[in-house]
Amino acid sequence: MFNNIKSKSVAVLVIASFVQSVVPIVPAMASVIGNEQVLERQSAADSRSTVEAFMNREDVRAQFKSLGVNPDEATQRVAALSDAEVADLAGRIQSSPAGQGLGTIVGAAVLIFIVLLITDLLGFTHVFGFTNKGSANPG
Amino acid sequence: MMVRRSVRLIAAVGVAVALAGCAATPITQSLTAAPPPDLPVMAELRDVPFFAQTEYFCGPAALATALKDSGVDTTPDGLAQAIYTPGRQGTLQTEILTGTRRHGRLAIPVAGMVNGIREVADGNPVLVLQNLSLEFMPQWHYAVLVGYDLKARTVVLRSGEIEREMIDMKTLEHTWRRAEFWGIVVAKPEGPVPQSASMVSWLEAALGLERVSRLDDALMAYRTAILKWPEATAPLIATANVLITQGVWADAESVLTHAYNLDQNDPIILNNLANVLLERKKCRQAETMAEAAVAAGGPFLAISNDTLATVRAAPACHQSI
Repeated sequence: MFNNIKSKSVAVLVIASFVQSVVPIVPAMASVIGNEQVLERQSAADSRSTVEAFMNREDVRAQFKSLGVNPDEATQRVAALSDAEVADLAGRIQSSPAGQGLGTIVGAAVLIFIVLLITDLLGFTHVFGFTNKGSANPG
Repeated sequence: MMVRRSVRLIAAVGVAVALAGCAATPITQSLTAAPPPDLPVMAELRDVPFFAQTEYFCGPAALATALKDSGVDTTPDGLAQAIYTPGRQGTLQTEILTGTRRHGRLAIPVAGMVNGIREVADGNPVLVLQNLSLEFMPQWHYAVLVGYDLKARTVVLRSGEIEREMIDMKTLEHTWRRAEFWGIVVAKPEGPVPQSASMVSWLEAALGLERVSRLDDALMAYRTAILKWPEATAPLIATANVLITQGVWADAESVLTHAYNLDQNDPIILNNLANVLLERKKCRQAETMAEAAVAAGGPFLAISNDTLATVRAAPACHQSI
């Protein structure tokens, strides 16, 4: 009996310390919207404006046109992408030389690469196999 | 028409592949061929300390270097216990991030090599993850980028057992790219804000401080964000949330009121302000805000409905009416 109580209290202690170490950040009041959500929203909005700014660049619009894609239509389709897809695109743009304001002939190659990636994702082109996610008709 | 489009497309792909082929290190190529006018030709941070790596301890050695440079009194041995994973004989990236937070510093991601070089020019050493081997047989290694020379096309690292390792910029581009250009700068909550930091990345790093219960440091970092991005509401909402957690209601009210003055239609601001006003026993204002939050709708509508119900049911409010 004593043992049982003892082991129970040990278990409670262990659970309590575990709960404390993984407890998420909860504001003092239940109906306050916390910083996790604030940042999630901000981050999604940021990624969208990064991609939009990229799509509005003169050189990028010219690139879309040279591929036979209407840049305005491409921008509209980007607006319909999910937050996760847009975040992925924004990351690729930011970490590429084309996203860091390096405008040389080498930058142009990288630019074409990213534009093709976007047109692939939007279904205008099919250059990269890896953007073909879960197609209904295999082969 | 379709044929012409395809021909154009194939030509474009061909050009892209050909150009990429002749420049496997496009960033080094661009940086050295046509350096951005605002970037100094060379820079080296000679005062950045050095801790020689022992055994597999490149993670703790690199993090100790970056933390110590940021004014934290630490050593690789002191860090090893917290961030070294014996089973892996190494340190995970997340452990670098949490190790930084536990010492009250912000880990700001550096997106890409140009930004890394720019940080060094600004006086900030960059902790970088490299894959020294090839992709199919990775050999991960942490080092600290402390210098570059665009003319000589070299960079200087604090790396392993070498205090001043000078390698080709191209080599760093290869090894760093194989680690997807993962790198961070360490920043103090009071600033300055590194130029690689976007508002979101700064706020996310500050949220990291909240996660390890360093609320005062997080609060300081959020306040730094208010000064840096005075037109934005997110730093104000975040600051108020820490103040709410700490029970500093009057300050929370004034910070959220400031946010409300910048944006009167944001359901998060309206909802949170309603809660704070209720706590401050300003019942009529709380109800007005809660109603506006419900009217604004959005993904947090359920919470706003809850807030409104709570305000209307609060005993303190019935007394004052």
